[in-house]
Amino acid sequence: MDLNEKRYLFLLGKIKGIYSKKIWKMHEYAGSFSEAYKINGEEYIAAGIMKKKTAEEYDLRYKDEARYLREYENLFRQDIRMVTYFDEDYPDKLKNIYDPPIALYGKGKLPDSSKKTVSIIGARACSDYGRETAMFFGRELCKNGIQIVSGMAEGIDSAAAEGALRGGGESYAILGCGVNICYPRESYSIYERMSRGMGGVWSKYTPGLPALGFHFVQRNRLISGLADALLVMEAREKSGTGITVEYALEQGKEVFALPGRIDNPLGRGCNILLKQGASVLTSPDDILEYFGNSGLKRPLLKQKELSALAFSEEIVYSCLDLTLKHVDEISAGSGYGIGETIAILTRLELKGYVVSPQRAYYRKAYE
Amino acid sequence: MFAKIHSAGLFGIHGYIVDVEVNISNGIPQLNMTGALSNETKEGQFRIWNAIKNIDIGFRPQKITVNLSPAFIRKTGTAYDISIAVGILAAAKLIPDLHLESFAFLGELGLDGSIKAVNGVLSLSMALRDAGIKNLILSNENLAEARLVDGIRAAGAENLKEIVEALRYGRTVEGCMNMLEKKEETASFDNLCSDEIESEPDFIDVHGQEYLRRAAEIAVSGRHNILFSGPAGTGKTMIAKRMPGIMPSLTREEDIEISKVYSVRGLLPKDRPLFSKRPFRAPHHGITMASFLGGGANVLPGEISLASGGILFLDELPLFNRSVVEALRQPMEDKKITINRLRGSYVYPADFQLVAACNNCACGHFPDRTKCHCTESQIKTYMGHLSKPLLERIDICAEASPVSYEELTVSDSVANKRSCESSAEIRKRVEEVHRIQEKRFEKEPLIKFNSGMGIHEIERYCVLRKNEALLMKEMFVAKNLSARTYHKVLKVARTISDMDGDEYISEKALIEAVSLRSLEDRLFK
Repeated sequence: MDLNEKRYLFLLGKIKGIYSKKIWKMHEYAGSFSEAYKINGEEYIAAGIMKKKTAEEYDLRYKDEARYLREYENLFRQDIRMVTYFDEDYPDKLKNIYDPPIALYGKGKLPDSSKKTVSIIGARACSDYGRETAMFFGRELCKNGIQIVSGMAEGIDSAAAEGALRGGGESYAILGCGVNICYPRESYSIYERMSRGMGGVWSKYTPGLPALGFHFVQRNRLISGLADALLVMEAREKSGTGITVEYALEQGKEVFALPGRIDNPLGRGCNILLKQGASVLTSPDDILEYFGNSGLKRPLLKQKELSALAFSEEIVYSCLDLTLKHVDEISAGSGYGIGETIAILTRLELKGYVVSPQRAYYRKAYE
Repeated sequence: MFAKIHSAGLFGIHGYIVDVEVNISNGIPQLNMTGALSNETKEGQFRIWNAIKNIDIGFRPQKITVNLSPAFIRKTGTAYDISIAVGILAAAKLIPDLHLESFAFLGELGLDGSIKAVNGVLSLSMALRDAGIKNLILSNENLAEARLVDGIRAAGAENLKEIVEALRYGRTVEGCMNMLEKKEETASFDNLCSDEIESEPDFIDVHGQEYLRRAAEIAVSGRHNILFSGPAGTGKTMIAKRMPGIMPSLTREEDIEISKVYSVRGLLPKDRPLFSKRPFRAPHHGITMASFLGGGANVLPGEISLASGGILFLDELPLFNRSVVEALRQPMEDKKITINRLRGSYVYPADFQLVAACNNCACGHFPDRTKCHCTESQIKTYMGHLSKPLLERIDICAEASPVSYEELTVSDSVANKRSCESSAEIRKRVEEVHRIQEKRFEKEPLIKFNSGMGIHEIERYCVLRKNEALLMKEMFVAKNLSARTYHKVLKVARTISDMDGDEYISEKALIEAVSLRSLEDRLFK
């Protein structure tokens, strides 16, 4: 697209209260972004594009124009790319959804349209099991040439991204704020790696825009829009994940859900989805099969070699599973005293059979 | 017409002799009191004036001057009332002053001449005895406390009139005391202590929470400070409350040291002159610096001194005012607290064992994510309220297992397959471990317990054999320990080995010590 046009598109995006949908209408009305920028608010009100309040805000656009132009010129210094709907590299998948964003800002690469894309989403306050499973799926799918899209939120989202990055694959994040802002801060390590080229970080909002509540609904829409399949790991009954799933169904994407325990609030959201007809997710193979690539069959948890363990270690190991258990519980199950149980668990931990992500809590290690 | 009577005043928890000097001369009837008196002491003139009038022994109003010597030390409290009254009567020649120098008096007067109890009698009697005074007269309520002090004869009185009569008609010092002494026997030390921990909470009521029980026993055995973390309502407080019960029984000296502080604060139990148990103090997290460390206009001992010899329990540690918690550092090192005022320094004991408890997040349910919705940053903020310098002085952190209160108390729960030990059984083991440590630190005058070891002592007493050293190296790397944690782990491992009766630190002890290590490595990187 014409560079001048791009500049005006950026300026329009910077105006408070004017988002992609309105810019589309303005573009349609005026014919180009530069023309659209010249028309004043009254005319837009008359055309039914703006309301009075937005128009007032819009009419002040020249006040900060110089600053925003400088910002625009400086985008490349922050390694931020601007991709518009009219550009060649704009993702095809987004072109096919309702109300595609008129421009995307991002760091790193754009999702490869020739590769399959899976988005992994779920609760922010997730259990250790959910986090590990998301990481596992992210890693295994990446190893099989699938790219991962998530929202970089705490919990499941960032765990999936972390898994994908560890699997040496590409992980993409769609943010609910400007891409120069790392929200939440805890995700900085994955944000950094993704924006440095192990994937990318993208947003429909202009750089500098803070994370506001309603942005995330739009972000979720893009996440499902970019994906070929949506994986729900752990979700409560009423949650943001539900919104993404709704969009995914609207956009005709396949939804997979990880079955949860019936007594666990974090499994309830998934179980409801399953009841409504989502596909059951039990292993990365389910996804590969769905994509018609039923290659390597692998169980979720590779059984560790138990012959190397002492008898007492085997007993304690058999008392564990993938959810966290407190030492008291393990000691009661194995019949060993507290001191002895801890000693055995620590030996198992040093051998890599067991992990303890929380003090005094243990679970089996994946693989 | 002059008279001098002995009494005693409190400076901190120590008593000092106060001489009450009374002079009566001709002039306009009035009572003047000097000697740096506080308000409540000065108000005594009205109590005394009316009491003397109401016991009706024919006192004529005259010009009276009273001086409490040494006059430069500020006097507080109401314990001088009787001495002043007796002094006035002696100066007025209403009682013979033959033997008065061998008596001391302590107590507050009522307007009718009745004698009331005062605080700090234990310290005051000791000071009087040390000054060579042989006879002490005070209120009946304070009598038992005063009788704990050997070498001074104490007698109680109901009313000022009884004292006047005894001094008038007793003829000799002996005679006076015999007149006052009641026939009813007062409790001796031995039968006071027999039923000491009877009503205390016992470990036998705690079911499950083996891990915390074990951690508590290790902590008490080596006098390690300990932090319990874990979900709300899982028995952290319950176990902390039972920890004084497994500490070794009090010796008489310890008991008197503890009782002195309680006596000064007026917190001794009504029915006993001695505290006779290990203190357990659990101040609320809204506590101010002055009531925590001690202070106020009269410089009274605070919570940390009241906990001396026992347990100071800080529940909800992250909610405590940061400056209050950080102020613990110096007394924890010195085992005493010094409070400086212009008039002098007050030194109170602070030899407590710290037990703290905290949740893992603001809602209290973490790591149970089915209930806890806190974000990572909320959890970090909550735990960030823990003070790092304080955590560095805590050797053991133990995570409670998520059981409900019902499970903890109902005896036939699943967790209770094993028999529950009583506090007395655990205490026996603890006493044994303390004996081992006593022997180990015979030549180290400043160290009594494993927790007190510095780096030199750790090198001397916590030697690792080859296998253990290798294991320690492996864990050091795997668990990303810091140098400070390493030393704390060795101290705790020493205690665990002592409990097992091992001369050298065993692998099992080392592993257990690592699993019980403090939180600071995880929280502050």
